[in-house]
Amino acid sequence: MNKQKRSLLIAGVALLVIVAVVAGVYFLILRPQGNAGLKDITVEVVDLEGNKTSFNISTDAEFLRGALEQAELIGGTESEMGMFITTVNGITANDGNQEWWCITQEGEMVMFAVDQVVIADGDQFELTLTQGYE
Amino acid sequence: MNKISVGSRIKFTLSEIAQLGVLGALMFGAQVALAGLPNIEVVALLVIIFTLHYERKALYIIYLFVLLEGLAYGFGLWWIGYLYLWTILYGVARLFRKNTWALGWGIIAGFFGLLFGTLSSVPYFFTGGLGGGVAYIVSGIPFDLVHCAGNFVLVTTLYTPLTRLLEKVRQATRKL
Repeated sequence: MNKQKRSLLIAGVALLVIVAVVAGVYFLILRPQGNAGLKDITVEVVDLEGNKTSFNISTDAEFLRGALEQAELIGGTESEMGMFITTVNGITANDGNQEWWCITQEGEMVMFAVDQVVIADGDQFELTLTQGYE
Repeated sequence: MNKISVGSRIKFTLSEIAQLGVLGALMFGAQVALAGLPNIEVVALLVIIFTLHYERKALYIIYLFVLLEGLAYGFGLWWIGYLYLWTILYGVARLFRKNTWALGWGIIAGFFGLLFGTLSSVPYFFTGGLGGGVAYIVSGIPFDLVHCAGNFVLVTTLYTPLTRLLEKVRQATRKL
């Protein structure tokens, strides 16, 4: 390998490392930050038939997962994005039937995993058993 | 040898059709086999190698893989990203097709892993708006970093042996 080619590869690796470090710093700055203190939140569980059950949770948890676990409302498996919710209020999604739990906040789809959803006093969330992946 | 035409340009031998089918299934099998390891995958490596060997015909392998992914995991929002993500890597591999250095491909695959979350976020901007799309990108950064490192290491180390293996397979199948 000649000197020019070697320099090019070293520059490529260096650029990759720099971009990765910048992305990491960007994440540390922009990642969701939890709120300390007691909060009262409402969680509505909707089953496949549309039946709704409402829960009021008082919690010190900073993220939604902590609050839901404190209320013993959810169960699931750990995934690369955090907990993948499979069971809510004793209702387990049937994967074979393409069922999954959709998390929304006042009707708006939540883009973060349940581990990363920051909660604040007065927040309202819905956990809806949904059929179909489309 | 009998050739089958697709459109006016691309012609396949029966052997090639069989190879493309097997390699598409192999790509899917490799993805499933490593599904338990978060963001560690060899699909990027296979896309690069298949593109360098099969050129435009590699698109048939890629889209067979994408179809199998949809059938296995459901045609959700994530699947829309798959329709263009791997084709972007295909395009980059075509662009740098004269590169023969494993490290060079490792760098390209590393960048692809790093940008994977950002590139796949496009459908989420439509469904979740600007905030939803940005949230999707930010929450995925740790996984993109793992993806970057995994791609860099796997492609740098496996590019040369797998390329040699594929060349041997292709030589053997030419005699069929």
